[in-house]
Amino acid sequence: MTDQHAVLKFSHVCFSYDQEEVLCDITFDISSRCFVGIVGPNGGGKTTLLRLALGLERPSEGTVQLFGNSPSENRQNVGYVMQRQQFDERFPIKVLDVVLLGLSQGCKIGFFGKSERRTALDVLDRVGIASLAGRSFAELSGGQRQRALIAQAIIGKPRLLMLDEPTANIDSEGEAEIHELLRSLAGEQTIMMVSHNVNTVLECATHVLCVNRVVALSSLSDMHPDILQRARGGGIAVLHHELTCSVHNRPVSCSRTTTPGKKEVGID
Amino acid sequence: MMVFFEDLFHYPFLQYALLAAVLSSVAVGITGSLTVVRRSTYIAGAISHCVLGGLGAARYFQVVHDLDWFHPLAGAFFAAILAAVIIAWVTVSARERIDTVLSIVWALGIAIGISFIMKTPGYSQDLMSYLFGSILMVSPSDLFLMACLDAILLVAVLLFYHPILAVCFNEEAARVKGTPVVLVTFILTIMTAITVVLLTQIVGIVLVIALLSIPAAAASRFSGSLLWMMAGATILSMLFMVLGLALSYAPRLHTGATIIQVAVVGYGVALLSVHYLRHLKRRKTHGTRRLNNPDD
Repeated sequence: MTDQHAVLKFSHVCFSYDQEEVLCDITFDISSRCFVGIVGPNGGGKTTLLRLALGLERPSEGTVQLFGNSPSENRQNVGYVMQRQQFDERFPIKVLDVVLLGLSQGCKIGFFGKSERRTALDVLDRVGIASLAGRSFAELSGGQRQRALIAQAIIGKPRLLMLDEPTANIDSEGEAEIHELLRSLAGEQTIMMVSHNVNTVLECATHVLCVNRVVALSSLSDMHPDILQRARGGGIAVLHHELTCSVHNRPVSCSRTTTPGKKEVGID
Repeated sequence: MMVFFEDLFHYPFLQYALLAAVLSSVAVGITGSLTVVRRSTYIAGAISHCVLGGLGAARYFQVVHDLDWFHPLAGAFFAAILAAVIIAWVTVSARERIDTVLSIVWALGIAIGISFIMKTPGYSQDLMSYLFGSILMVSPSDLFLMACLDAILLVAVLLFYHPILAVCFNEEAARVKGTPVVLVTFILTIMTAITVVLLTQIVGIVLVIALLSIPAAAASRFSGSLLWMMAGATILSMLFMVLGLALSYAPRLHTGATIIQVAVVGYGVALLSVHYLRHLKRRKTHGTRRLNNPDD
């Protein structure tokens, strides 16, 4: 895989909050159409990694490239669903307007027209909540809110979709709906998803990136069935342990091609 | 209350007061809604108390040093905009804790204001009018200024509704989408400053926060969008101000204080109405379920 094809490329990136080093000498790249599940312990640097990828934080050392350029220049090609959406429970906004916010790139002047509203309704239909378009966002359940936020993230047809804990605080029924939705989105665009939920990662992702100050990236199809079996029983910790033991902070990359013989750079 | 409406046709000062209530309600509806959804009433509080510093300084230079051009309103504007810029800069740069900076700006504004007012002859009368406002003293030029400021606020909100909505709903998500968060934060804070100066004349520095938060908070209970919340808050503010004006007129009560008391009662009524409507909805849902499942 050549560099210009990388959707996201981290080269020897270090990042610290004050004196505390959160990420240390991170090097990896992610190519188009991968679905990368990002796992790791609390405080391991998962959300920081996404923030660096978006250019919301600057690395203290190394470089981050998004579609071959600085992240801040290419953020408009990214759909981002944040962890713990911080909004007022009583914020007066309708579901359709939440989705339309995804279209307001830069400094949108004036109001949205009929065609944009139709697009928003189509996207809501795609995520299965078109009937809730006129409802207040605050009235929705956790799963429905997450679907609305995913609709907001994908309405601008981003090349990369980043999700931070999309199934956190959602019941099992809502979680299954989100899994189904994410699987339907996979293949259309590159997806990076932070999750504490091992089932979410195993059911949706093609690759797993373990983050705990350092990173380890592997294709799920290359992983031994025993590891996956134990991961289902033992959670993220098993995946993380296996990956960080086998690959400790080596330059790594992921490719959509998962056949071992054809894979350009792989991890055993 | 009827005396007020009878006298309204005879006394220009009452007509001006009524117009001031209507015009300032537009600013209250727009800025109040933005203040409530951003949970930034303390920003309005800090700016309003800084206004006292500007008013006090301008009055001092006018009276003691004969600087007639230095009108208290000009001093109020200068202090409010300066406070807004400092607060917005701290908010976007996040170099200091915002609550600490707000407390400092709040206290410094009062301290400067009191220092100048104490050195100005006839200070006690001035102090009372600054602190509690005087809607009955509004002049035609004040009304013209209010109309201009309303126009600026309306144009700003209608043009930049979506960037403002994006920043108010989720600042970080807006930043990712390329919304100029810093610019919008400055615009919102300066809009708050303009409204605070406008309202200082009506209800005074002490009661500005109440007028910025109560109508908007009551409107938020019934509004499905930010735009409707602004419209609702504007209408409620007009209602509270006209009622307060009318109720305070005959018994010679303080107008600003009466407006706020009416607003608080109005907020209570809004809360009770919401609970009652929810109760009715629940009863209706239960009734429908019983009809569909008579065995339950």
